[in-house]
Amino acid sequence: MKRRITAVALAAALTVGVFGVTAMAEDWKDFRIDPAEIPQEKLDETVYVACSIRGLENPYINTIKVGMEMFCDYLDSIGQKYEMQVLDSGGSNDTEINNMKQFAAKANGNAIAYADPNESAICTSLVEAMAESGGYIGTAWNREEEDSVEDYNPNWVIHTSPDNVVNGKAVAEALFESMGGEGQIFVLEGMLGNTASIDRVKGLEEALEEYPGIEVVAQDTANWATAEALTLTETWLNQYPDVKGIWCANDNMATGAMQALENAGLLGQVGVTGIDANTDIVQAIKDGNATATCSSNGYLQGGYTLAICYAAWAGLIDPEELPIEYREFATPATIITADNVDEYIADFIDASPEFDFSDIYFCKAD
Amino acid sequence: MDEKKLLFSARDITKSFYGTQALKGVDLDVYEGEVVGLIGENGAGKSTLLKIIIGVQPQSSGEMTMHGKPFAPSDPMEANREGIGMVFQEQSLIVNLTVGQNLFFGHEKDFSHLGFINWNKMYEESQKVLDEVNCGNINPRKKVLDLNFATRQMVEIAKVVNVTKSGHDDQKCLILLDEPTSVLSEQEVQNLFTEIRKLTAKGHSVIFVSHRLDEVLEISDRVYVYKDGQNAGNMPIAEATEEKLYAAMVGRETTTEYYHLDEQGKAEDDVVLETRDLGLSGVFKHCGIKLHKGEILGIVGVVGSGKEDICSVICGDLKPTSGEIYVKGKKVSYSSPSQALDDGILMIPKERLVEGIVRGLSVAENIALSNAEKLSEHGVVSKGKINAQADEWIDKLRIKTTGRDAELISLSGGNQQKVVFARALASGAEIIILNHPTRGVDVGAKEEIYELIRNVVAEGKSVILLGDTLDECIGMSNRVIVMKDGLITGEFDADADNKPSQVSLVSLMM
Amino acid sequence: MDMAKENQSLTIQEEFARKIKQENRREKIIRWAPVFVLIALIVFFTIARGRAFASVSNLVAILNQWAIPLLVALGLTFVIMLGSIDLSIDGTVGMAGSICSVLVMNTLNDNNFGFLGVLIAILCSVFVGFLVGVIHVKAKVPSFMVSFAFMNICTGIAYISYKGTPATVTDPVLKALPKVSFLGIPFITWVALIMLAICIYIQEFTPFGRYIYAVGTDESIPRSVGVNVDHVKIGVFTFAGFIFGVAGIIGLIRLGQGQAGIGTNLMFPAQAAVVIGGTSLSGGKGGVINTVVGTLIMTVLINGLTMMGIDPNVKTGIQGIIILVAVILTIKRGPTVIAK
Repeated sequence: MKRRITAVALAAALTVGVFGVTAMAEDWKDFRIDPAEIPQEKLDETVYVACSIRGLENPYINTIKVGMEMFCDYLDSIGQKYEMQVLDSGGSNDTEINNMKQFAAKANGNAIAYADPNESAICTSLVEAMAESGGYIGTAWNREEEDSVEDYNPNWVIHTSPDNVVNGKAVAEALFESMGGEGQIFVLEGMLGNTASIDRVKGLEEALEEYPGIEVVAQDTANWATAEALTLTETWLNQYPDVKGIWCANDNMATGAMQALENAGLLGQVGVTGIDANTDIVQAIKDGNATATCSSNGYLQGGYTLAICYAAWAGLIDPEELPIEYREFATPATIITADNVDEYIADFIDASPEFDFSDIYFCKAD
Repeated sequence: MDEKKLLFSARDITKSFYGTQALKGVDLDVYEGEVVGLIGENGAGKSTLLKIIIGVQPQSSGEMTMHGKPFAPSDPMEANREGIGMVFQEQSLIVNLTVGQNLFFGHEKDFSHLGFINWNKMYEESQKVLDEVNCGNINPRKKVLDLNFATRQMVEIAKVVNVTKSGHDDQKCLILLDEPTSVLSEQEVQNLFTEIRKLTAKGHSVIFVSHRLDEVLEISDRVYVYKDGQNAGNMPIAEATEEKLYAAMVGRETTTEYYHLDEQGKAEDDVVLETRDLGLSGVFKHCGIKLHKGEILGIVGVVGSGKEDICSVICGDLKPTSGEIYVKGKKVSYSSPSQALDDGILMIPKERLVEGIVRGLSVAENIALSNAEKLSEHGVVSKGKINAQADEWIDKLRIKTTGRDAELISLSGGNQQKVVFARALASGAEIIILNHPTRGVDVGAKEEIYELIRNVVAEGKSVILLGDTLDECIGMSNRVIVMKDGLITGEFDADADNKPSQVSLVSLMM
Repeated sequence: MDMAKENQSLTIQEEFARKIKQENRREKIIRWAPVFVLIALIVFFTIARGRAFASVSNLVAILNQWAIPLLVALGLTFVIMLGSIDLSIDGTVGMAGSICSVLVMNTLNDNNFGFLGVLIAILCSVFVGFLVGVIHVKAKVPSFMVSFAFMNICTGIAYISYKGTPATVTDPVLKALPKVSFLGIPFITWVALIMLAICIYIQEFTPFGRYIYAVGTDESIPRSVGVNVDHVKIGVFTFAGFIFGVAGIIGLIRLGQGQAGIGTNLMFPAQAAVVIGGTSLSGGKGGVINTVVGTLIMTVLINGLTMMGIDPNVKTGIQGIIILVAVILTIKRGPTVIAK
């Protein structure tokens, strides 16, 4: 018996495009890939599949890779020839762009890719690399505000992002509620200048306005890294022993904060929240040592972005005909707290999640 | 006197490096308990012979014996075992270790137990070694870093005595001292001599190499003179006089054609460069030099006399600590060679292969290195102008090359030097300092370079020449300045028909 | 005339002697500069943050935070004393921690090798150090190239070891260690201090220690007395690998989770610490004690700046400026003695 997670309704489409919401849009929501419609010569052609990411040391990013692998299993099931590749930038803009260029050149038009741009500024460079070769790309998380997928028709198929502001606010609210609405907190930011970190902190600030009893006593960047978060928290705990909560911009840093609490004998007494739904944090929520995290569902991001790009490559959809809200939208996220953690563990940790990749717009938040 | 036992002998030793013969068959005998002085001009082969004796490099031919047995060390350790040790010109102490640690460096195992070094035992032994060379006042626990040069020198000697004696106390040793006094003060030199005498009193022997003739005469029992890699004399100290040694050291006077003496012109009266009371703290001082238009001024002196440092100061490489420099009557003060070049002063460095050329670049590009800016338009270097310039100079200096695009490394030494000359001339320099321009080039190329220098001054340029040999300096120059220990000790006119003798110069150099 | 000449020549000698004396005096001041920098930092932060900074619990935190930088810098010290460099640190440390995490009792698999797992992880790191040394020496590849390559290789091995999902350590002994302390000093700091003692022993009491100085000063000197310079170099890199391995284990214990990130961003601060401490990048100078001071400067600096609560955007810059000032104060500058 497979239980379904209720996806928390997030902000609707990021942008409402010129097409507006039409009846036709509803049709797209129901779109399914029908393997029978794919010409045999397309199936026999090798399609090159890639995800361009920042490095596999982050468990969340690893789920994107697994999502790609799941999608490739789907390609197997419909008899599509393919070759799969991970493009690891190691956190370098240049490397990510070069990787994408080489990949696109190799694939010679028969390419589909998921890209998580290292920084907003390089988003269009990655798209351009793909567009030049005639391949199809979907991007996630970072891009400059003025960029639009319509600038690179048809090759820039979609841009999606979990809504960082909303997620950052949601976990903050969960944390503040657990603290009874008052007390001191530490804030661990991600890499300075990173869009995701800035937006999550923005969400935190929105929540702070609603909870005047909460006081931020220390705030610094731990660069998304566990060890740096540990060191910062350790130092702060000496200064503010009465702290009641620690808000972290991702789960890697939450791991470090919890380790510092454990060393100080405070584990379980101070609330900790992160974002990404790393396995250890989910387990900590179950054990009562952490308060909340947020699953952006990397499996879904990685797998479905490629599925939509595949549909474009196979000629099943024409990106230029898609309404803008089907090309730029938010992906669903799940806030995990003690209330739903058992459900989450059963679906995503004890079992691999299963997805129907023919239902390409399953990944679109309502 | 006659019953002295032969300790070491070398017979007919030759050594050639890449075609040039550094040693052309020299002999050396050392008896027990004597100090043998070894003198000769730069490049006479003294250092080469020492390196062969200590096993740093093998001879090309010839035999050596030590203690009457054939001796052919493959490395310094083997020489040590046979009782020969050397204090190198460059200090070979590890400055961050203590005196004791240096004395027994490489022999720590003798003092270690279960991986621990017994420092106390090592320092006790060190004290004994230091006592042995009468340096008991040196604390073996002190870091070498904290010692002055004289003390370091004594530690070096103690170390050498120790390694050469290790194992067999009654073995007679041979200690090689290469320029041991160059960093010592007068008093320190005397102390060193006292120690040397104590060593020889115990039957050990010393080979003493120095540029300072008075020191050699003072400490040696016998003196060998080398010249151009050959024996030029061997006499007991009683027979040796400064005059005799000078005469033996200097070479034959070369033919007039070799230096194109018929082309030697008269310098004009205009002074293009003058230094007044110039000094560089601790290196040279009170140096007044005048260079006239169209003149070749030779500066001679042994290594460390300060002649190269003066040139470095003039061309802007070093800043003087006292005195003034005037170029064409205008007082100047340079903080870099490029500023000096703006006033038309350029030095062609000694280490041509290291400092002077870019090996991977073509002949044309090398010539254009110093004036690329002049050949460029709007910051872009004009290839055509570079090539035109290269062709002009290749033709003018008769540079033998497969073409202007040949890599410089493919040219012979003499022709590489010509390229460096071409660059200097192309830069428009008026005052050219030539630092050993003929080092490492063959005889034919040398003559061409001499002719080139003559042509350069004939065009009204001026040259300061640091010659490779005394003969070269005298032969080429209009005037010669002699330096010793940082001071100018003499100045000679050297008109084509009235060249000073080498002996008169040498006597002021050493 | 002759007398005058003598006097003049004596003056040059005297000038030369004075110059050397001045250099030696400056050298002595510079030798103590790192200690002054450290004291200045401590005084400043104590005044600025008072009890919070100078508290016992913060002292323990500083000791905790000091352990890994100290370990890593110790390994690097000998390498730098040779005049070489080791850039593999980030990878080797991360690799050792990651390998250990999947061998001891953990959340990712059923392994439970306990202490043996720790040993295997350290041996992997030792082997990497050995390879860096051998390839550097035998293939005559510059050490920075070889070690840089190994940084990447080891990071890759770390990822592979836990296949993307970091393993949380559940081994009860390893889990308990971060909280264990003796005489108020945390366990992991004790490990670092023991390693420090070993390094001091090697530097001060073994022939090997002398050879490191000698090779760094001038390779021809040890060679001329029959010391195998290649073996010394390989030995130093291997030992560095050992220390990096231990650092990886300590990082794992501290973090409770094995990931390549254990080693991230350790190398450059470690290099800065070694140099600030007064060990010269050209080799032959400095040593383990210098590194102790250098790493303390870095640790105190970061701890203190965190306590000051400076805006994170500005903090990184301030940190850089202070490091720069410390280096300028402690590194020997200007021309060395002109050999006559």
